[in-house]
Amino acid sequence: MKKNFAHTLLLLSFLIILVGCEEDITLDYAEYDPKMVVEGSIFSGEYAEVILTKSTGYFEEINLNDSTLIELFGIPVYVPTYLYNTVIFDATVVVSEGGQHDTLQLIPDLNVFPFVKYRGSKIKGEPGKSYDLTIEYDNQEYWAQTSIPLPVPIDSLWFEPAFQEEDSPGFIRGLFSDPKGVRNYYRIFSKTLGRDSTYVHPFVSIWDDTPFDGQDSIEFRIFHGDNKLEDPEDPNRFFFLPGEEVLIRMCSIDLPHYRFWVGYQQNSGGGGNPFANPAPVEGNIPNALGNWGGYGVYETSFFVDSLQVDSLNLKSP
Amino acid sequence: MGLAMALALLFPATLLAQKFTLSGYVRDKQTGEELIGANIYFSELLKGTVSNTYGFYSISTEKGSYTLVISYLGYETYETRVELINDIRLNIELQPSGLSTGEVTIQADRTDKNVKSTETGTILLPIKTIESLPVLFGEVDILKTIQLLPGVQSAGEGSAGFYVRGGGPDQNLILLDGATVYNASHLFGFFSVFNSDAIKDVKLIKGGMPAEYGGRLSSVLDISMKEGNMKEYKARGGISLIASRLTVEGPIKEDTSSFIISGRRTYVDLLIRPFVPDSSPFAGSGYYFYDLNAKVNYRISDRDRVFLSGYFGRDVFSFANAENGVAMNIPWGNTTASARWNHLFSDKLFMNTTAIYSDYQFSIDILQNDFNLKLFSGITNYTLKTDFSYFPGDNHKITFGANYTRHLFIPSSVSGQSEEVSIDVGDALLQFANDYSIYINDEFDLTPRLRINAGLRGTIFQQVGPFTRYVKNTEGVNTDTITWNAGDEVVRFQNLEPRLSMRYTLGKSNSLKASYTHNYQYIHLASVSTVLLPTDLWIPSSDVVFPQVGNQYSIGYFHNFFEDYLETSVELYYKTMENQIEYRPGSSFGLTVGDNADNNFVYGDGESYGMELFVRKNFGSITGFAGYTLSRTTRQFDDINLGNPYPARYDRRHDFSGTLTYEYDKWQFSAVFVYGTGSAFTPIVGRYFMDNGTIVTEYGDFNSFRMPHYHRMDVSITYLLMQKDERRSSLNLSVYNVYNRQNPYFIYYDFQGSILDGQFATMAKQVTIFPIMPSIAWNFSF
Repeated sequence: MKKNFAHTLLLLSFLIILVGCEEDITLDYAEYDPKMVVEGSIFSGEYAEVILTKSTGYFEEINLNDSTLIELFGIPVYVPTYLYNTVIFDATVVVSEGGQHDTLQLIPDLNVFPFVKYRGSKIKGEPGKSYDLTIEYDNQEYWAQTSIPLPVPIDSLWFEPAFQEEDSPGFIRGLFSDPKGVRNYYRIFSKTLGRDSTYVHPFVSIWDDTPFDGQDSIEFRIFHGDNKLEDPEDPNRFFFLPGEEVLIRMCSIDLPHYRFWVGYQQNSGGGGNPFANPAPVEGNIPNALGNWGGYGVYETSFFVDSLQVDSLNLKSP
Repeated sequence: MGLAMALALLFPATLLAQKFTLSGYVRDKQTGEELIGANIYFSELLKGTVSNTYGFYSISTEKGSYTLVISYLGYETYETRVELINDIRLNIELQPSGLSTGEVTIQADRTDKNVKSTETGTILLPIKTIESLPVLFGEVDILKTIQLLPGVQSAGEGSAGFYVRGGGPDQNLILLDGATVYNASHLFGFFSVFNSDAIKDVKLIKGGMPAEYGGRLSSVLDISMKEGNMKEYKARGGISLIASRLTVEGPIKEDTSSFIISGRRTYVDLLIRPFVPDSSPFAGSGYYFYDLNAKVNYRISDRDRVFLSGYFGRDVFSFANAENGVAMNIPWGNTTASARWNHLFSDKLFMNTTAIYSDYQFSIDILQNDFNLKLFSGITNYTLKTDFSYFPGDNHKITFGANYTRHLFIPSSVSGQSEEVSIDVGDALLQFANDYSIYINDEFDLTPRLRINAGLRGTIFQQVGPFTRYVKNTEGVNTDTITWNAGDEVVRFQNLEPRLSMRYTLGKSNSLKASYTHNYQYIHLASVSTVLLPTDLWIPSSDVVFPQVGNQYSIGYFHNFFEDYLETSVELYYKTMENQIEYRPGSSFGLTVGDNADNNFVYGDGESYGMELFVRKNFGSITGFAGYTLSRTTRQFDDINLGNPYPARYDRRHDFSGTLTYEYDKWQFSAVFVYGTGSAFTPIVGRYFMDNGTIVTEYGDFNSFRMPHYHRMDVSITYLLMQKDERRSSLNLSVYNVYNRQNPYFIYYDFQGSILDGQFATMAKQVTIFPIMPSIAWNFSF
């Protein structure tokens, strides 16, 4: 935001002084053919989960006020028609590894949009292995492959208050040691017990080890992620609070998977500015949007205790 | 000296026959200005030469009696008998032709230079041609005329930025009296910084760059300032809708020294002010630019002459918004100064030594309530160079020289001040570099039909300390810094740049030419947007940014018809460019604190090929030229478009421009028509939800979509109000975009409603900035 400040101002003023005129135009590509959007993951120790939706044309109006009553596994739910039309309920989704196949089943998940997901029941993710994803839908086949790299442990965690006050909210810092001689890519999540129903990730959730390959005591910082169910106006939304118990998940991911999230991160917030560089999101499924990604999980729990802050801070670099 | 030995070994033929040399200067009879590129030849031998940038020529041949013919576009041809029985110094003054008498001397203007020279892709534009064409807002603009030539494309509507044969705008070496001009445009690119009243000559080299030029991949735009009238005081100027200009020139001592001073200022700010009431929150906002050119020269003797010239220009943009307490001041501009010394060692050896200062600065000063923020970026260089021209004999010319430049880059420097806090990133981001080069270029006839121009340039570019490299971690936070002390070498690049061009004469009025150039460019321009903005950063090659490498092959067929009445040419080129830079996808212009500007780039290669057709008629009551370019330019970056090649944003399949000028009595009518394939851009095609309801924007393939085609016609009428001797006054009426074509400047997306309210729509909007724009200007000279 702040980054664009000078530029935006400059541009704005630039437009003011010009006698420019603008008109609405219809671009040839306004006719849009929806694509399948895959949000697939396999965490080590867990079954694969895949969410399937469809993209919509950029110029298609979004209307969330018209709802449709649907029955999801016996539960009646009102869903905006627009969103309902983007969900894919009837695809065949198969995950394979080493000659084994796991056909994913559609199950409800009211915590996560679009309230349904495909979930495996046979193959659990294991570090060091590769997993194929095959989807059949509407007479089309989609295929992708991902791997689960070895997880990297977190050495220590401590809390850092954001403000100089008692019981201040804050963020969590940690240290880890990067394995030498291999390229590592990381993605981090957190789940605050009693607060988040799913794992959430901070706005910047990925990094690679280019600047610190093989070094010990690499410091990282994690804010509370975007929990869509929380009040967008809540000032503490992106902080952890004293007394909370947090599960921290540091995951190892492979390069294509990392690149996908890099694109995703750049994409959010962009769009529409004619002067900014486009930020396309590059996934690993040739004919679909989204991504199929494996995670090598290291998970630990952390109790946010503001009293320990000072002593822990002294130890940190 | 080693060099002299080498020369002697290379060209033993020159040591044999008994030859004599005719040399001297070619000048304008009325003003005493030296004429660049005049044709000098012995009509019996069909052998000749061309005057150099300082009007000097030298031609050697066997003793005998010859008819010497000197011709130059826009001047009466001069003919004289010469008895060449010893070395002769002959300064020639040519009489301007054309307008002064109303008669057109057909003989006078014709030249076969385009067929006879070895230069490929080189076009010399006399300032008269430039001045006769229709203009925007009544301002004559060199760079906009350049854009009408084949192989040259405009960077956008009304923009003074240009792209040559698929190269970026940073790959054009723009020289004003030898000094590099880093940002050649005013008003966000709408006007060039060159005030045509102070300009003598413009030469564009887009292929087959001779070895004396270096440091840029694509082209050289060599602009010479007038020297000032040696005979009498003169003034000229003009008043247009947005600017006024005045130039005064004259002798300090007749035929010995002279001066010229030229100024220009816009008054858009004054025009807009009435429309912004004092009560408006935007009161105090405004924009203007001004330029100042000055030059003095002194002929110490027939062998020595010194020149001092300078340019100073600033754009000042201020923006105020009382409502949120913001006041902003944004000045930017160039300063150049050059001091040069011409010396004739002998009739055959000419030297020019120049000391040059060039500077480009951009700053933003923002005051918001009690917080003050300053952003500054710039580039400064000091150059010392010397160039020799040696004329051993028959159509043989050797040029050689050396150049040293000290660069200082300030990619961006930020300082801020409020009551409690003060930040200053200070000098940490400065980047220093030394740039050394030497070159030799030899132009000679291998056979009577085959003329060769071979050159070699050696360059060393060295980044030196003090310098700090910030190494970043996961979240863009610095984890490490590497520091070099003042004078320490950070990195060094050294390269050889061979150049070769040749001409093969097929008949009396047609020839075939070919050229190859290999060159390096050690500085890069990082532009975040599709529009050239003064915020674009100049970045030197460094430990992470490698030099740009260019290769260009071109061949051309040149044919003059009707006794050189009509010049035509077809040229084909193929060009590759390595180590091109772009901002990382998704990034945009930022305030760089505790970071190196070059940490945000991605690197790739470029390729361009095309065909250029050109027709020009320089004389008669109807003159004009037309150019058509068919080309394709692509880029390939590992980090963009999945690594697949994509069209460069200035890839233009078809590009046509035509100009026509008709003179009748006191009237002059002219018209320009341009047509070009629409600019490439990356469309946003769709959207989808991921990551628990986050909206993701889906882009189409990189630069896969085209804006509507660009076309436009401009017309102008000039009426000579008064002409008595050399006093003239004329009125010019120009209409830009006469049929009011709504050409797209950019396309953006606008939104209606909000997701939170449940209703949201997106539409595309096209912004056109110049509809039909009539303008009137009054010009005078006395």
